[in-house]
Amino acid sequence: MLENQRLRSLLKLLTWFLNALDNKTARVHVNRLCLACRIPLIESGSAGFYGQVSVILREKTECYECMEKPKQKTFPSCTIRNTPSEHIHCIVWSKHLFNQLFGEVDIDDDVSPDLEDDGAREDDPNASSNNNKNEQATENQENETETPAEVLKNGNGVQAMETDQNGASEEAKPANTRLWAEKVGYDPKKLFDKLFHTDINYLCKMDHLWKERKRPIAVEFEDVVAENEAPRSLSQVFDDLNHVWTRSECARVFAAAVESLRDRKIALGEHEILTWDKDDDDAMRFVAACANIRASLFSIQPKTSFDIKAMAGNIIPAIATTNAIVAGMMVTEALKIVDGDLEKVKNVFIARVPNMRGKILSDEAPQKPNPKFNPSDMTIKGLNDKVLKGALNMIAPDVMDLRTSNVIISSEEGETTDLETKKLAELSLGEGTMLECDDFVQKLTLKVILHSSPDLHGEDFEILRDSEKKKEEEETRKRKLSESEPGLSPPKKSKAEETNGEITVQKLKSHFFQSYSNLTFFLPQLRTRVQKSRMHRAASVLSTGDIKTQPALLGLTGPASNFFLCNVYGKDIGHSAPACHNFQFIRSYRTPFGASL
Amino acid sequence: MSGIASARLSEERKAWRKEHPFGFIAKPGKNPDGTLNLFNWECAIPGKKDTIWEGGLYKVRMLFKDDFPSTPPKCKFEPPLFHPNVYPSGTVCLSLLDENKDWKPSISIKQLLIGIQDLLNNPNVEDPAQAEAYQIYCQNRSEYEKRVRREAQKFSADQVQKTMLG
Repeated sequence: MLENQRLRSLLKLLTWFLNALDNKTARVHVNRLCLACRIPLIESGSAGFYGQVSVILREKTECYECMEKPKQKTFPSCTIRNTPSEHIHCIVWSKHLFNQLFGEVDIDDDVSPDLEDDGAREDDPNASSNNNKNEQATENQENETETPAEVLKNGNGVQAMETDQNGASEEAKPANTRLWAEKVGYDPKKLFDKLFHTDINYLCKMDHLWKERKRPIAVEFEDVVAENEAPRSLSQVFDDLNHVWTRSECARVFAAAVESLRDRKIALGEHEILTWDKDDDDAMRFVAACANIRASLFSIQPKTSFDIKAMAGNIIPAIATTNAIVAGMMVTEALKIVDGDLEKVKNVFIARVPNMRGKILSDEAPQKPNPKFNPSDMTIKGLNDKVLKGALNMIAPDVMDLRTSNVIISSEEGETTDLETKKLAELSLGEGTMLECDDFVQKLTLKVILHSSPDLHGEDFEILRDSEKKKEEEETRKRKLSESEPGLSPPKKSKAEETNGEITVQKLKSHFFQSYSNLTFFLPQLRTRVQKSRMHRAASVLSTGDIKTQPALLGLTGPASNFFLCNVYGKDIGHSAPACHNFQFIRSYRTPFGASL
Repeated sequence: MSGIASARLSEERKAWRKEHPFGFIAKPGKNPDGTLNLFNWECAIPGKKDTIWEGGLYKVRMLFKDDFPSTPPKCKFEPPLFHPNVYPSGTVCLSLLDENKDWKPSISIKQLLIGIQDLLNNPNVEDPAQAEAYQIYCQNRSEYEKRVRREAQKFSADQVQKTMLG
């Protein structure tokens, strides 16, 4: 659906749009479509006993993207690695562990004790400097006045010597967790003892962590397994999702899960990895067992396998009654829209327990559109330096506003210097403005269409590419620039400028779309559609600015070779929350001067 | 705004910046908001060497219309120049600049400026535009030359250049 461009024309036929979506991406998309087409949107959602309905009317109420949404919950890595205090911390740690052992290794998801957790955390130094510090620390082994981090690095060194008799890596570095595990052949017992005995013991040595917390208790595999007096068979344990497994059961489940995951990973081959999935029994058991064992060490109440699955898989239970209430409230609001009572629309919330007046439904008038998400912070200088010269590799851009034919950026020294500190909005450059950016020193012309994005601030921008080239898109898409140089921040506006309009005072969020779809070459003589692959080659040639080799590279010869025009239309995602600005690129290239006239 | 006109004008600007005859100036003028106006150029033409116009730099404004290059720009000396083919308003009378005469869309700004420079020393008596310069030119050539030299002095290249290029 996200790809369907015809949706917009379809949408225009609608009286309203009722959203009952389950994800943010689709919600954002529909929100933008409805804003663009001026269709009233009734947005809804439910989570367990909670539910809500909000009405989104362009320029009247705040839109989906105006609303602050809680971010995906994340936990500080020191909590996960060193000091879990809730069961969810242990679950997150277990999922990280799964990835460290079997999945995609993420340096940020380290599971070993964070030895630098001394309050002022820094990124891990590289291995060699770490080694040096280890040596220094060793000399000061008994010196308690050293910083905790130094002393602990010493601890790390000792750990390496103790655990690593095979002469494997000297540090418990994240990248090496996997190596170490492979070296011991994913031996469940060895893994268990490293994770829940050796590592925990080192955590215990970090005295400053335990001043106000209970110290964890390290355990060994053999001891844990022996804890159980009336052992059940593993299959019995596996099926028992609704009772908390004993620690010994967890240890046995752990061993079984590690073995089967190891076998599966080996079966996959050298560079293949496993991905964690809540519906993958082995993976789920691994996480459930690990989480509960770790929880027990840190004196956290263990949970049932079922609960862990819900937490680990971010499963939000659906309650039919809540959904029914939500649907009912949506219809109520929709009826108001049909009746034209736009002033009466309400955002409705369903609470879990009755409020003071004994109601579970509460409503409020929708907020006005959130002015935070309006233009415009981007200065002319920002556009020039960061976008054109920075992200788009132009060397000496001349930029012309195609509506007025005014030149807003000149590569001739001093010609537009006094414009540099102005914001785009001050020059009435905004939604839909098309800019022609021509490079003076290379034959490169870009057409840029300005739009906006609500999630970019200051001089941030994004260049989006077409969905057909997903990989490229991912590489370049999130190239956000932050407003780092204070010199670039626009100076305080004079009074005269402020009277130019409200837009100037507001913030710009800018989106840049660069797209490579619908590639057509228009050759005056031939009017041929050149193959896409050639076009891509042309695009890359052009971006390097080497125009001379171009026609040949394109396989074009003869009279047509001295002139071609290529338009690359960006996908219009149709977002036009009032006065928001997406920046969309339409690329066009033109060769020799005069040929285009 | 016409896309053809602005595209052509930005190409003209680019071409000029890459290469232009010595002593000439041509650049888009400024709008009140500081942006450059491609349809309103500020130019300056130097008097040819070894002519009575030598030493002067004469400011010309070029005003383009939306249908440029189908129609020629209006070229205007600012301030008006003492010359038989320059109207009292400053507008240049030249067949090259006449849509119905010699104007061709392929003529570049460079060619126009050179054409006007050429006109300075080769006035066209068939087509007078101001009475004063025309009469003096026809009746008293030495007086005419004196007046022109005075113009050249008044608009000395150094000074005009300073005011135009800052």
